[in-house]
Amino acid sequence: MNEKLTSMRNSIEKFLRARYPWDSFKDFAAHQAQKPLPPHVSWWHTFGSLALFLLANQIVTGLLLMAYYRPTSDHAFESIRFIQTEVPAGWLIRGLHAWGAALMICMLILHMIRVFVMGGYKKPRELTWVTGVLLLGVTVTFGFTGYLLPWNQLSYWATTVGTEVARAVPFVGNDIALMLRGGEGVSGETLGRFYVLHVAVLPWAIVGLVSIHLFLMRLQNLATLERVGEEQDIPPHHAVPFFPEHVLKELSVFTVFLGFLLALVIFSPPELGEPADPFNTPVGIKPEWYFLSTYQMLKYFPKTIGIFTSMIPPLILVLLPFIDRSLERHPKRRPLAMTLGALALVGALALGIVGKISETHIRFFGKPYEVDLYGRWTPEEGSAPAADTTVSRAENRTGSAP
Amino acid sequence: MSWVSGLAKLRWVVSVSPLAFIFLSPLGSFAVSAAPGRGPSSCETCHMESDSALVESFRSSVHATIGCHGCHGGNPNEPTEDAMFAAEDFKGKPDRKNVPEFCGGCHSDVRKMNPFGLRTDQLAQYKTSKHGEMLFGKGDENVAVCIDCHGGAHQILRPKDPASPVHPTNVPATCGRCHSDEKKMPKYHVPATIPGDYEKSVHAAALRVRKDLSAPTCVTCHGNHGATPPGVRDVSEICGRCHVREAEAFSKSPHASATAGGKMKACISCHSNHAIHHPTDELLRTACADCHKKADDPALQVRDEFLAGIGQIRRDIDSTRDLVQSAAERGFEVGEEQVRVEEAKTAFIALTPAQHALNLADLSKALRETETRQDDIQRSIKEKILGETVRRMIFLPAVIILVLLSIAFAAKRAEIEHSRRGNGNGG
Repeated sequence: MNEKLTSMRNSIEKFLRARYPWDSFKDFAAHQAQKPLPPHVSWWHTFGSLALFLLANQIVTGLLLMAYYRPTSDHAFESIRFIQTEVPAGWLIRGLHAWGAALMICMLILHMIRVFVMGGYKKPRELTWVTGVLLLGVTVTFGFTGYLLPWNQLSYWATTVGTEVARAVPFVGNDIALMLRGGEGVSGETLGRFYVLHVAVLPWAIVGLVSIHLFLMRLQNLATLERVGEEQDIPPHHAVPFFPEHVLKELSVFTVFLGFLLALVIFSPPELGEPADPFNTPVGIKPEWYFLSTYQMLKYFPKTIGIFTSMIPPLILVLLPFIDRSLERHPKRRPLAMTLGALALVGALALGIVGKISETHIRFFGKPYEVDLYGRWTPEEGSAPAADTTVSRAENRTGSAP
Repeated sequence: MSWVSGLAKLRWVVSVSPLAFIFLSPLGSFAVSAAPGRGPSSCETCHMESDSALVESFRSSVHATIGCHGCHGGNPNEPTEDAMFAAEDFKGKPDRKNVPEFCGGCHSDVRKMNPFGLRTDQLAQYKTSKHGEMLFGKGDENVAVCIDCHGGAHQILRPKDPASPVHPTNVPATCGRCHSDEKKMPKYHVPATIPGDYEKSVHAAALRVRKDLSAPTCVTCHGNHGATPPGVRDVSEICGRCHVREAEAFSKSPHASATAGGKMKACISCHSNHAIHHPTDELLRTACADCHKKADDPALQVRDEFLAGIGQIRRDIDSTRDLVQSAAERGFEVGEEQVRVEEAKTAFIALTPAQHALNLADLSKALRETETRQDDIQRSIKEKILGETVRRMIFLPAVIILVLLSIAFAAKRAEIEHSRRGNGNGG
């Protein structure tokens, strides 16, 4: 049997060798597989590959969903219901896609934090970082466009609020909102646009960016923790071979992660919700978790200033390698960068949490509180008029949907 | 020349401006509205002095446009009493017994009524009514004539006007003015309790509570101008005008021939006539026994089967609805099952008219359908619950396999790392 297989393989290789530089391909693949990684490569270095796995998951489950999904306002919700209840394993495919999207953004953020802490974005890997930030942007856009597709109340109204924000851009804001929505309000036209972006435009963008990102990463190898310009060649006995050692580490994490993903899909399946109703605005519309900090920040500023303020953090992220030009990579020798990074992270988390609990009723140490639009707590009794006032003021500022 | 023409314009403006002031001011608009094509007639001018309320109410009545002389004749342009006495066509005040003919003078005239789209058979109908028969046949002037129901001779409003006594919401009170009079009614052998009975009925509830203007009032069943008590044989026809499916089923029942033979009074035998209550199981239980008094009467067995069948269907629907509700509360998507429960309810409601045929085959069919629906819904819900249980059960071995795989990968990696470091140190 083995002889037969060897003979078949030799025949195929002979065929390829006669037509292509086959041995060069094989050498390249072997070199990539055996490529030595720096000795400090740890479990923290697996977030990027988990994000890559999730991208593959999104593509496969997304293609399967496309077989049943109907991107029209009349049929979208019903087709999702059909997928969820009638299609064999439809609940699993949709669950993997919905949870996969959220976890992919999680993994990208964790990967980005790891690279920041280990100074991997510094010279000569600035463009790898920039493509990484762009990848995060594209992934979040995937999330924004995909969120509308189930065409339920939450997705409809979150998209209404989200696209309304675009109106705050001076001079061209209305045109941007019109272009995004395909009309004055969110409608079937918007659904068509978002669907095309989600399944045709963004996939090409993400595949292109991932290819560049991986190519640059393999070309320049992973950064060590040494100072910029003082990176030493890795001694052969200290180098960690990519295959099989690092791949085994990734597989070990991946299997546990897959179990975690399945647990989310089974024990916390994505909801179907109520069908979108343009004439009935639900109370307390919130965006997806990864927009919560921006959503909350926009509330504290007048419209135009808010929109520009919200652009500052992503701009700093993109330009980080060109702003932080110190030569140190080791986190212990970069106290200022670490402190500022930690502050930014805590700030974003705090804003996100406030955004999550704003306009809700919470219990804290057994006492009921009402949280207003700005995250201010007031004891439940007799606080209704104040809350009403803040809501109307905020609507004026953010220009949210009627 | 230009200053001359300017002066002319100024003069024109000055001469017109007081008029403009009058017409544009509220006073002006009053002046316009108080300037009808026809000024007050001499009738109104004189009668205003003797009975101003009469004239005022006439002015707001539906007949205001035809004026007093439209009914009473006379010359409205003559300012003296000659307006009445010198005019050949002056009719004056008609006697009570002549009121129907007096109104019918116009209301039976096709040429006069056509522009208003009004029927002209009202007088003819009145003559066939109990009121008309008593008035014309026996000269009884106590019966209702046109003006009694329509709000008086001079205050007649359109029937659609909510203030009109013949507006649907006012009809029971209008008829009740006489028909609840305990002094008047015994003479005619009509109980004075009828209006009170009506107010307790489902029909009155529809009219008063649901504000349903199409709900039956007295005139719906008895007629208005041709008001007469329906004969026993007419009852099912009259009720059947609205309760079409019930009447159709009733016509196939053994009770139809009993009614034709005069042994039964159709619908009212069970439902009564004026105090018609919402039909319940209790009605079925007691109404049958009112006629079928023998304990071993086969009709009572049919009744019992109906009672048992209806109770069974109701319990089935309730239990299925509870099952769907509890599944929804557990987070299952049960939209389709909810629709099917509503279908079962609709089929149950449709069984109510079918009951009037007293056909046990219909009942069996309804029972089978409800049972099938219930089975389908329960199976569907159970499949969903089972599906979730299976998912959760499959998850456990899947996770165990994944964790074992993870440990195996980690162990292999540790082994390779150990071997590499050993080789490095050895080198």
